[in-house]
Amino acid sequence: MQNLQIQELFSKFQDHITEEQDKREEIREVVKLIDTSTKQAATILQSIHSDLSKIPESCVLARKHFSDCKEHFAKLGTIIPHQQYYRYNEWHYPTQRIVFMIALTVYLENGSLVTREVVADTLGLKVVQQEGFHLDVEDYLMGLLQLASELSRFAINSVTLGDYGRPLNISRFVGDLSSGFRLLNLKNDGLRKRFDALKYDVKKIEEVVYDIKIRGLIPAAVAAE
Amino acid sequence: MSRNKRNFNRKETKTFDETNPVMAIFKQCSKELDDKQDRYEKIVKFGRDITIESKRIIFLLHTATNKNANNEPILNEAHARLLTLCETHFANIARELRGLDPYQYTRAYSPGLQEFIEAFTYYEYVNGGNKILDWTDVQNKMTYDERDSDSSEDKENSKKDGADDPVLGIVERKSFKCLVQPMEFMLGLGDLSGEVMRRCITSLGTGDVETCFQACTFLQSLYSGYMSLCHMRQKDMTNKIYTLRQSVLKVENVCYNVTVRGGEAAKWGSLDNVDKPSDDVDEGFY
Repeated sequence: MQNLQIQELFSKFQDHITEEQDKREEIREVVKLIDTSTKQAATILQSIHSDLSKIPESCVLARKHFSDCKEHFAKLGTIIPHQQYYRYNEWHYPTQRIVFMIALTVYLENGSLVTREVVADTLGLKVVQQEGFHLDVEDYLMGLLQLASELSRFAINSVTLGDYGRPLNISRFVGDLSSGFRLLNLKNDGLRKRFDALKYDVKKIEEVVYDIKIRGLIPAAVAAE
Repeated sequence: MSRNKRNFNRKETKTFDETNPVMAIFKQCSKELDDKQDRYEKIVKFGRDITIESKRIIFLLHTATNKNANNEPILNEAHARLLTLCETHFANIARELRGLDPYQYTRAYSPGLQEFIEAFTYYEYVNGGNKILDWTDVQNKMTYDERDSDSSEDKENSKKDGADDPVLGIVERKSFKCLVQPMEFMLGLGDLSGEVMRRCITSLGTGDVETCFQACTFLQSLYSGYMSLCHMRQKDMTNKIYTLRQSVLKVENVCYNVTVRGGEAAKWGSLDNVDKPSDDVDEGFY
């Protein structure tokens, strides 16, 4: 008698995990699409390191891929049941990448830090958890941290390409970013670990600024600002 | 030292720079992160209390050995304490998570929940053991009605709402719950095997041979149940099944000895096994 009950319990549990596994497969398919679009946007934005004149153009091209992502996220939103956002965590990494891409594009366009609302809007996501499929605050912050690394590379390359004004701007921007992160009480988790790497990016950019400043390479217009 | 101080001051002044849009963004993020961390910590605390109390209940249940002796008060007490846990700590967790995604904080209380499930299923096992619960039963115990378990300030709020609009007051009576994931239930059930094994060894000591055989059949069917599961990617579960196998082997060995040598002699033969199990039984939460 008892034996039969136990068998029943286990077959019920087997059904449960099979169902969960299928759901994960389904999610993974969509996440793959997001990944592809993100990679394409990333490839386009790589051109900023070799040709400064292409920047506006590549921003426009990258934005096309963002709207592709928006579609994929809409699809993902229909797959994930209500209030089970944190049950499956297959999409966090690609989301952080895409946040980074959007933040980079916005910075290149107008030199400002993208807000979470704008990112969420670009991807068709909500900001508040209760309203539906949302952009997690940690994913947003992780994306910003990736931005800092990319900008430290960009500072170096823009000097190589003869734009001496840009590193100063980047330095100010990343400085703001880093003091912003210091406002957060980070506990010992992934975000904290990634944040610890931020200081190396800041240092790298400061060194670039130092190099050009000591040689008097800063254009008068930028220095007066 | 002075450099540190200067850095600190600089940070402080930047904190109050309200005009900077970047700071505004981070202020908002900071609030959200803090809220999340505070909630998480609170739930971890409840979870720890649940773990401790569940371990004590299990200990209490281990004193109920002989079948015909006065087990009734012990079982009643255990049952009452288990229900109290549902009404207090689990209700508190559920209240913290009201309206949120329940999966976000499951990791904060999962050790407590597993220990509770272990205690609960062990109670069921000792108390006749003819009924095996599943997670929906436990989930039902941890689903609360908005009205009966509200804290006083919430009650005041609902009273106010009710005064404004009596119909709304009734419609808004939603239930909220403390999520019990099937996986957690199965992990808790895996822990039960250790307790049953321990019970088998102790009853061997008191000469209660029947309990030993009962435990053996139970563990065997439990083990074959776990063996039947496929697509299992959980590392915890694999470990648990390995431990379960050890328990099964021990209990089978006890039953073998009882059969071959009779109840009296067997306890000498397996005494050296008695100390070992306790290492496996403790999952390291305590």
